[in-house]
Amino acid sequence: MPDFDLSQPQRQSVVGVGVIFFQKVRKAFNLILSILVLQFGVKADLTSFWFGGAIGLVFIGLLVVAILTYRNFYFYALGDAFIIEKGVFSREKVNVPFERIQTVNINQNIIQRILGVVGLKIDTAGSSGQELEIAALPKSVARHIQSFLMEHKEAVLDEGTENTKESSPSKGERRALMELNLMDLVKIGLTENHLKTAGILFAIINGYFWQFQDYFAEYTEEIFNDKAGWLSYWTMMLPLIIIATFIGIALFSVVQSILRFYDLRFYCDQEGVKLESGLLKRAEYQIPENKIQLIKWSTNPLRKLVGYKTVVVKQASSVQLNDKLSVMIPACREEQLERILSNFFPEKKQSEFQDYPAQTWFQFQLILIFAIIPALFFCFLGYFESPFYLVALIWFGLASILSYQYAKSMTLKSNQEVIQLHRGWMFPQCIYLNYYKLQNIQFKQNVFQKRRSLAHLVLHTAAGSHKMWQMDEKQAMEIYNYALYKIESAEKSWM
Amino acid sequence: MEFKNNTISLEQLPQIESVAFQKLNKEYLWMRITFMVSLYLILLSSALIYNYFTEKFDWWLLPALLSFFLLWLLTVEIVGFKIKGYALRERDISYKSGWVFFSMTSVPFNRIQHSEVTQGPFERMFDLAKVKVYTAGGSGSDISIVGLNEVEANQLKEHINTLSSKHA
Repeated sequence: MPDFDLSQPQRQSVVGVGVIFFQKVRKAFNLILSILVLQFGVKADLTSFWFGGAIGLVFIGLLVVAILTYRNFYFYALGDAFIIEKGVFSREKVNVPFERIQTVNINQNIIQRILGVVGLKIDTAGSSGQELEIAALPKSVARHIQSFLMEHKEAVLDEGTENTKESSPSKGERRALMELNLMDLVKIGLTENHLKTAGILFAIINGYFWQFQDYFAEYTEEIFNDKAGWLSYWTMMLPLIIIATFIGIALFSVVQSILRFYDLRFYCDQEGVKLESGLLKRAEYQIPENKIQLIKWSTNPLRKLVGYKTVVVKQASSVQLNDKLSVMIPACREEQLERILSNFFPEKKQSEFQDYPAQTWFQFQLILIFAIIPALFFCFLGYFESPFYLVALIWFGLASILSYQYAKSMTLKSNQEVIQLHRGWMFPQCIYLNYYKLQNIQFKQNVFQKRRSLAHLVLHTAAGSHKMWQMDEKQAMEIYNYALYKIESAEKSWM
Repeated sequence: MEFKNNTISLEQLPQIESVAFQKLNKEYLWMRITFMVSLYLILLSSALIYNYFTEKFDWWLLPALLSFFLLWLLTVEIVGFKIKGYALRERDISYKSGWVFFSMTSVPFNRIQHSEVTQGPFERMFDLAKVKVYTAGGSGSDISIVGLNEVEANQLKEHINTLSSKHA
């Protein structure tokens, strides 16, 4: 897009009015809906003349606001900063220095898709709520701005330091390392952690139920009044309801996975990672190579069955567990994972890995806490109600196996450059990171551990902290000293 | 220039265990004891007054519980004081503390975001201050070195700032 001049104030595409209008409508809809429900319950007469008139007025108002928003919205580059001017009633000028820009992402929701434009999001290093959004741009312009901003950011950062930036690799089309087809998406949906979804669903329904219980009361009272019939009815229905719920959840997960991961393309090379996906709303995430802090894979029994692992590439973030800032690949085969890892950790093959397992005491500790103590509690209950003896026995058996396997799976591995931390048996997960990406390191030991020469080690990175449990004290100290040496002698910057 | 890349044996690395940690000022311990004892006295008197009017418990029960609690906290504080300390090396700063739950953290200078000196009201009374060192590794990984006198704290902060900008 050579004729696009960022040094002059620019407006977005005219169809931006439409995009902004629908954004406002969506916000207004949520607001009005909640007010309506609170004010009139479900009894409001939605067909009345006054109601229709009010809605019409709101729509016209929103359209005017959308047009004004569009007319007053300018963006341009001036000196070392990208500037956005906006505001309907009061003018606002947002000034973002190039060096503060973290990532520039291109998104496309369904309205933008219909209108043939994309949205551009600029994340800054500041606190949340600081991100800037340009609602509607032709795709080529968005790409142009994206590369313009990233290039200028690099240029500003390189100033003063050395200017020996290698010529960036060929800017030709990057080839996707992996793509997911429809079958993969169905598999992903079916192998989600359904128990977790069920839990979340239950919490949401429960929350709504209590919030609006007055409205439900009329209906529930009738059911509750017929007590005997009610009870037999539910004992029959309950298993059916549970099965139906799980089928519903599985279907929901499949639909969600198709919406979210449709036509997923994952790119991975020397420049970093990039991921595009989505059916109605096309999202794009990218992380430059030097920003990547760690790579994590995880899986669950179902997903293991179809041979997939979930991979997350994490970058530095001030807000912990902020998934918006990490790139997630829901399903990755073993050989693809291996390629991602060897791309970012070429050092992984250069030297032997050494094992630093959690000590056997950890197994006993977990069995004590999760199997023996609860089992004793159930035995105590069994004194009053004998079926609890059976519960105690089953609990003890299952919990001991799970605790034992979990404790056994806890391992830290290290070679000269890379740390690998593995944990979990049913739900295994593993993180990989370079020593020089660590921020600092912490050694923890309570009085009981001291007697047994055991210690915990916490690896603090800019993308979260990770704890290795119950190591041998000497080995923990070994890693501690080595990590400090690697951080302090590192020539590469951690970001 | 000759390029060397010898294998490093772990024994050759600098060992944090063999570093002598700088102990904290005695005033810090007195400050903590004063703080606890005054809190104890406030709680004790309110407990006695409360019981005088309501007569819910035997007269000795609440004072005994409180005294036992104070004794335990004082023991932890006094034993813990001997463990607390910081160590400055050329390239990092370490802080350790905790008797029941021991913890030691080392922050390399090339990972420090910024550092600051803070002083609470009790610390001001004893002319003490603490130095907080922040990294990008989340709140759990920041260290705060307590029990320095005010001049020392400012010197330490300056020193950390100089070294962290040198190694950045």
